Amino acid sequence: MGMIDIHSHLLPGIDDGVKTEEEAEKLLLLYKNAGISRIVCTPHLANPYVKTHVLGIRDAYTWFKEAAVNYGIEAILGSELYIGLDESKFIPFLDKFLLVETSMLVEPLYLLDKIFALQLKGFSIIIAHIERFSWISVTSPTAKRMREMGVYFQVNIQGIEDGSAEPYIKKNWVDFIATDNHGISRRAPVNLDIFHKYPEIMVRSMKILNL
Amino acid sequence: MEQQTYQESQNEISLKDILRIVRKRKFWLAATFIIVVGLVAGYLFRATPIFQASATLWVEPTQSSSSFEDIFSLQGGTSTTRISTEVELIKSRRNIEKIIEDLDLLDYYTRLSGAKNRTTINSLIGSISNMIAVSTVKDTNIVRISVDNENPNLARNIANTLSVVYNDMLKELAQESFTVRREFIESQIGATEQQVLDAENLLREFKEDKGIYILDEEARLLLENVTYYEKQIDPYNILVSEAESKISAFSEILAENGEQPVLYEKISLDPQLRSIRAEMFRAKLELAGYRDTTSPVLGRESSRQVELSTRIIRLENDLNQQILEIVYNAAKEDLSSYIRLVYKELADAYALKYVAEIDISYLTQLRNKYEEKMITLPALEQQLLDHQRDVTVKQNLYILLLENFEEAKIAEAAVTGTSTIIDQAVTPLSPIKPNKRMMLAIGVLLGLFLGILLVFLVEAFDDAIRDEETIRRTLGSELPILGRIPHLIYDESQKYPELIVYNDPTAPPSEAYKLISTNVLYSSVEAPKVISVTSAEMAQGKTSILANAGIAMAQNGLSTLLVDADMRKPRLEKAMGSPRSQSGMVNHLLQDMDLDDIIQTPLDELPNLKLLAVGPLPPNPTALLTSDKFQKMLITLRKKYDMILIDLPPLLAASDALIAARVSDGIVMVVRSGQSSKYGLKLAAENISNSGIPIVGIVINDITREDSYHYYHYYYYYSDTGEKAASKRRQYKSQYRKSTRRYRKRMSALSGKKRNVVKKRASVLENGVEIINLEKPTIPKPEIKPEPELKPEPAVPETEIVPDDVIDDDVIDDGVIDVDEIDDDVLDDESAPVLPVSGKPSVNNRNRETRPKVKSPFDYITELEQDVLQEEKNKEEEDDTTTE
Ligand SMILES: [Fe+2]
Repeated sequence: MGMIDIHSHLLPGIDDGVKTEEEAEKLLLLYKNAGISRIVCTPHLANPYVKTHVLGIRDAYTWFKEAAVNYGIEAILGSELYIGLDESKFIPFLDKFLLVETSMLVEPLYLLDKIFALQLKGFSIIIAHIERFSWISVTSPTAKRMREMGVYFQVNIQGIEDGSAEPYIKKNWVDFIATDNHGISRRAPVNLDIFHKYPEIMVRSMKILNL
Repeated sequence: MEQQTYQESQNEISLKDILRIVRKRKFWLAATFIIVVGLVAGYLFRATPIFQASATLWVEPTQSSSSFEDIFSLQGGTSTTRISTEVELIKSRRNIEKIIEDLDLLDYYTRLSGAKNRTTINSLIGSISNMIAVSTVKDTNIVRISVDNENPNLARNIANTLSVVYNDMLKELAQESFTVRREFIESQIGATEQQVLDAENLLREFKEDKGIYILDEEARLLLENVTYYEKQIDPYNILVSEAESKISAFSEILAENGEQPVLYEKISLDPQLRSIRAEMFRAKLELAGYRDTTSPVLGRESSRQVELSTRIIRLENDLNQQILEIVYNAAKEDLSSYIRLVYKELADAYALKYVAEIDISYLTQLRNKYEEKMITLPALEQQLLDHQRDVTVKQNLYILLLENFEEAKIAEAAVTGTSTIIDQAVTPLSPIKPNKRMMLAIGVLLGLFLGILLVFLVEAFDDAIRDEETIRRTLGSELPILGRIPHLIYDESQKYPELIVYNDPTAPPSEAYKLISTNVLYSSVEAPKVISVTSAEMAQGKTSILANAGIAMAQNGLSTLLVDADMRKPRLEKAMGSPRSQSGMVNHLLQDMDLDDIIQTPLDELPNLKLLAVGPLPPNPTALLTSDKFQKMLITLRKKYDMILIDLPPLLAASDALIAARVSDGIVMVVRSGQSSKYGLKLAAENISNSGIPIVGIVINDITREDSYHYYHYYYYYSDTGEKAASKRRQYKSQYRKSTRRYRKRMSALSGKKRNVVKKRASVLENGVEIINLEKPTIPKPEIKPEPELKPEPAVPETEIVPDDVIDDDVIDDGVIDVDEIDDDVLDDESAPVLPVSGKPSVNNRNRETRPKVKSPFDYITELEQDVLQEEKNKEEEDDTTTE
């Protein structure tokens, strides 16, 4: 069974992720070696702290999709939407899955209402790297309500490695494990082997995505 | 009016209720009983047995122990007060000390308590005194001495020794005076004998010397008179000496005990005594005068003599009293009974001496009268008279002494204690404490009492509903029990673990669900079409009851719709084994999405069973459930289905539940046995009755054997394979079939509309019971909803679908989500949201979901790009204006 990384910043020169096409190719090789068959490219959108080159996404994705084919990898376009400012424009992946992030420190006003509004439009909401938000934990009511509302949680491989994702894993609240890969020029390379350590979560992810 | 019925039934507690409560909580009763009796038994087992030995004594109240002055004993109280003195005397320190000494108890107790705790004599006296109980047998002079001790032999020994020691004490006290007297007389006898011999020798020598042998008549008469008085004086002298010896003996005893008795010299100086003395002296003198003049032959006492005698007795009595008072007044306040007794003896001795001295003085005066006359005699005669007199006097004295000596010896020997031992104590065979039988009996009674008390306390504090009786008593009115679901353990390996009726329509619990559906359908003359199922609190099992009852209705051919209106914690889809769908009622209510697009067919084999799920969970469910749109939706649906079952939120958790239930024909309350609270049920029932929506009845869920033996038994029969069970099963089966057939007939008669009846095939089981079986291929086509995938495109407006006012305003009004309404239990681990529970292909459901209008990623990019370009354009224009 193939595996999917639903959160990455691999489109070269688009956001704070991969800078060059060479770097992107290096990473594709790493993914291939790790046995990952699908990558969702999720550039930041509406994030006040990251400048995203929106006009370059089309070409970058066209190039990346082509390049990935050489490594036997399917590239899927999505986005990482920042909730808190303007949530009107975004790119969902696989038609209806929407990866969202928020401020690290404070819970955005009307977060649940905004999620409900997106759900009402038919989108399935995935909270990116839930373990990184300091305003939420497994015990917070917001987290519980989000589970009831059918919101999916994604944790980063880094979060698994440093243990911050552990409470969510224990609670069986992790639907996706992803890299949030920002490339190798700015950050340390991601340990892709972690994917293989959670086969149940992988099965679950695939079922959710209906792949 | 309902309120009243409720109150009446509350106040009535019949014997039946009590028995029921006790039977229900018999384990509490048994546990309390066993613990209490166990504790008592444990105590009895561990407690040191105490043995009691008793001796009984006959006690003569203590009297003045000097026997020959009876008049002194006139003073004192009645015999009963005397007896209490005895009781005190028995337990006196002196006696206990004696017991300790005699039985060597100090040694015994030192050994018993070990070397560490040194037993002191004082503590021992205290503890032994506590062991001894002295009681009088009412209105008699019998005293019982009881001794309690761990050692039966020691108890007996102490009791017996005490009675002996007590007796000895009385004896010693009495003997003291007799012994003193005997010893005194004994010491006098020898000297007197010598004096007699000396006097006789002198008389003989005088007679031989002078040649005078006989006195003349006058001298002889004088001598007789003088010796008469001398003879009378002598015993009083002896008495005085005796009294003195006693005084010194008793004073010595008192001195040994640290007492300082008043001296005799002080008593003789007492003015009041002096006046008594003077009066007594005169009286005695006068009385003696009468005796002198009257001839002994004609000795008839005149009235004056009688008067004098009486006065003398009275005076002596006064004197006695006075002396005793002086002695006691001089002594300390609180005297032990023994010391008091000794003081009394001392006072007696003082009185004895005092009176004797009075007697001596008046007799001496009389004698001197005759002595004076002797001087008138011739010298020789006078001398002879003297010698003769001397001899006579000495002889008289000697004889008197001998007589008294004998008497004293006899008296001394005859002295015994004033008590008699009636019964000696014997070694007790069984302990008196603890009284095992009595204690056990008390323990049993106490255990029963506490047990029953606890049972009623537990009953009073137990808020959980465990049986129909409790429901009836809580609600007051006679609400029908629509069904009783036994405690079920779901087989998780099955595709639809919760759908019992679907999995095995003939299983005993399925019958229970079917009965619920029948009962609901027959609950009113006009069959209800919309039924709300709810409970007072969370987790009562309403959803699975609703699902199974719905399946039973659908299997019966009714087109049935299950509506999940629990927008806080929707569970119906999970119970039906479906994944949580992305779109549902909420989409219809907020976005006007077509109901046909969101109503699902959860079970392929039951196409006439439909499901309307919630869809996305709104932050403010109240606004949706209470909206007119919701009501309108149900009015529309009512026309389309035979039966609609609404899964309402728990009444106490959601204020909107009852508003939502307005459109329903009745409410079914689910009560989980042993968990639902009486208070909650009462409150919920009151709310419903205020809302005016009828309660169809109650379903009791999760009945276990403990809750109600009766119902468990009922189901037990069905699972039995025996003959009896089979016959019962047959009976019930045909009943159910008949009733459903009847219902369908009635339904078609009522509506007049032709109903699509699911064709059913009767199959015969081994026991000959027909069951209803549904077959897929024979489903009539018009009933099946066309698969949505056949539809070209869901008519969902893709933009501006959410009216701003609904989302924003309501949410803002309501603030953030009410966290309290979310409870934890369902959430943990299992609540991975949209995961298909079973491996069922989700094609149907997926296709039914609202999907954003299918656009390629590049379409989204285009939108984004246009945005950015528009922004840049705006900015340029702005820049232009600023530069201009
Ligand atoms: Fe990211």
